[in-house]
Amino acid sequence: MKLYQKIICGVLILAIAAGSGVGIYYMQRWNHVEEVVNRVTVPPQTTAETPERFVPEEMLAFVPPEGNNLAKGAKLTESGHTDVYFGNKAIDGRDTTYWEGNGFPATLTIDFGAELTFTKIALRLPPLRAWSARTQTVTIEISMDGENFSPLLSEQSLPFDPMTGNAVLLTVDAAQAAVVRVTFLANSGAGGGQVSEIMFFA
Amino acid sequence: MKHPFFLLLLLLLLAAAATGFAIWSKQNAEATKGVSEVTLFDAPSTIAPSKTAKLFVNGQESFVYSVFVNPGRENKGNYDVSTVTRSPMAYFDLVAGKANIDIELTEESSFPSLDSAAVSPLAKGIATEIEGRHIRFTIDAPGQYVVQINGSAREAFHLFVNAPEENLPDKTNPNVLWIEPGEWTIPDGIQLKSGQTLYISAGAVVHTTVSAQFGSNIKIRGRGMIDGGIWDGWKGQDAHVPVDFRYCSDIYVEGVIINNSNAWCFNAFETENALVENVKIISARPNGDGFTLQSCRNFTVQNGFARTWDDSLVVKNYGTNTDGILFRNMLLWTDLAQSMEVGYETNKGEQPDSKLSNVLFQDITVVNAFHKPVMSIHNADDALVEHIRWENITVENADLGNGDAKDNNQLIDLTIAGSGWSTTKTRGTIRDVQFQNITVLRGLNDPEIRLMGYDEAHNIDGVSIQNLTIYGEPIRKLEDVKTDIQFADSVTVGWVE
Repeated sequence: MKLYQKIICGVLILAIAAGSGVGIYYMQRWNHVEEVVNRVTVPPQTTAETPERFVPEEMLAFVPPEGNNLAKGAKLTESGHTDVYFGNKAIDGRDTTYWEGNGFPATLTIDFGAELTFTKIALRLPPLRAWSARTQTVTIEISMDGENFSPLLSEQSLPFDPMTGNAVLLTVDAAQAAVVRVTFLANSGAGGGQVSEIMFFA
Repeated sequence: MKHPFFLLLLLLLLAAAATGFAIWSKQNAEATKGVSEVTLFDAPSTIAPSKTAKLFVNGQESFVYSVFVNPGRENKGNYDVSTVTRSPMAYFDLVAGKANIDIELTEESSFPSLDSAAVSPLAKGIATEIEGRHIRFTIDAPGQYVVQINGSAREAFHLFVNAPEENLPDKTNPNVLWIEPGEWTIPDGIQLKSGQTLYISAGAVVHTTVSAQFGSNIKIRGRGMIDGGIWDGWKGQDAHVPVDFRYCSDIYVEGVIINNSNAWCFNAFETENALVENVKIISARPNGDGFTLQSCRNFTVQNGFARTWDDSLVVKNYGTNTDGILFRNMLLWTDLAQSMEVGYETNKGEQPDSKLSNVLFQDITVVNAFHKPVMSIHNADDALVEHIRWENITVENADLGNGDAKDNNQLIDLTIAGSGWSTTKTRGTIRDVQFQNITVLRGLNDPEIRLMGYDEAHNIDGVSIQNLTIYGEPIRKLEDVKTDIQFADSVTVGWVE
């Protein structure tokens, strides 16, 4: 073999080695998976906070009239209810539990057990911010025997707003009755009438 | 060498081949170079991590939450939570490629040794590698996963792998309520109005409720958590339902986790045109139903998760008629009650001609069902319940009848009867119920199918069961499976290859 042939052989052998090496390198790269981890951190806190946007505005509380609530101990019957929102929750003394009727019209009938006189009726809903403002349309009737009723309040739309106590206080001429029937005809916030407490005051 | 020309030619060819190999492999390496990209989210500094497990994703530690679960199989009726315990849960985003998962059991884990681990859905065929107290495997797609250790349901690892979020809402839009990462308390709840979007960032834990009434075009999005841990059990009085829609339309809920509700978890009533996507629920307290749809229409819940201590997916008529409900690609774990239930209340609203129709449960895996029936219709009122279908359902473990479930341990239970949940005095009917491609992998009992009409007039008519497999055995005819049938007509069991 002549010298130039030996040189060509050498160059070709180097080319074979280099090509194979590069090929093997990239074959290894081929199997390599690049792992990328992004991390989102959380600013340190010492306790749970309320986001600024959700800091509640001041809510006005409903203040019941002075005197005893005459509905305490009364017997209540309902035309129906939805889910677990039974009628007796309207006179259980808790303003966060409530009755919700099953469609319209819906009635709550309060039997005091004896004739008495009242001048104020409070209809309340839970004083919770989660409750949106709503309007309920009602009529109120009174009876001495629970069978024959006469009108006390003709059809009226009552505004309820949690920011102002979520309650409506009605004042009537001194009404004498043993039984009161409240009929709910519409509610802009639910599919039935709703009451967390119905209260009567002399 | 006598013929140096041939040697040179050979070397030239080899050199050309090596060069070609180099170019080819470089091109392939560049074209198919693997990238695994994930996004991990730290937790609020006020939240304690799980003591029993750690998680490493692509080699970096990811926060593991310690969530309440309830392995008790008896609802004692007094809101007893003495059986509640803890289990690990974590989430991250899979941005590209496959994620390498490494779960480490700490010394505080109740498992003295680590012998095996199984990743559900088992159908994904995810192989695990055990080394010491490490479980390693690869996740190649977003989804919901559960890792059970040593064949036990105890301390199962809940892993929620999200796809990266797209089209984030505009933080500056006044109709976008944006909650940053951190622990937050909003005890009065968030009342959404029409057109509003609530965004809960990954890394946020929000103690609150989210509700809307008479609203439309409302969205809840994000990767963060709505948590009810600040409230005692509702005890029949104060239910703080984490997500509650009433009389709404055009609803979109995506990505959030609902944890530790003090009552039921996701509730929709008289709501229509809704898509609930990739929402994860874990409940452990009494009445902790998962997704509850009451008198809803055109409502889809998909690609989500529910591990619940009451019904996991449930459809009821509480008002007007239900129509067009789809549950698709869900991973379920039912510690108590039914996994996929229609009823019991089918006419609580006492509507004339009440009907509950067109409900489809599709592509659903039940990791564990420990208590009452997996697939059930309980028509406890006077409604017509019709066109109810279950398709491509895999029950990995039908360990039914535990605790107070007793003999209410059916795999499939269609029953017309009065119950404590009845409102109407008269009974209804069930028509056209189809089960297709139902697979039960394992269980302790002999799964039963119960079809129990009330009488000849209030009966079940038209039940088709096709391609049911129980413990590897195909059920080709009615006699191949344990049944209890009464007042049920046109019942067919078949197998199509």
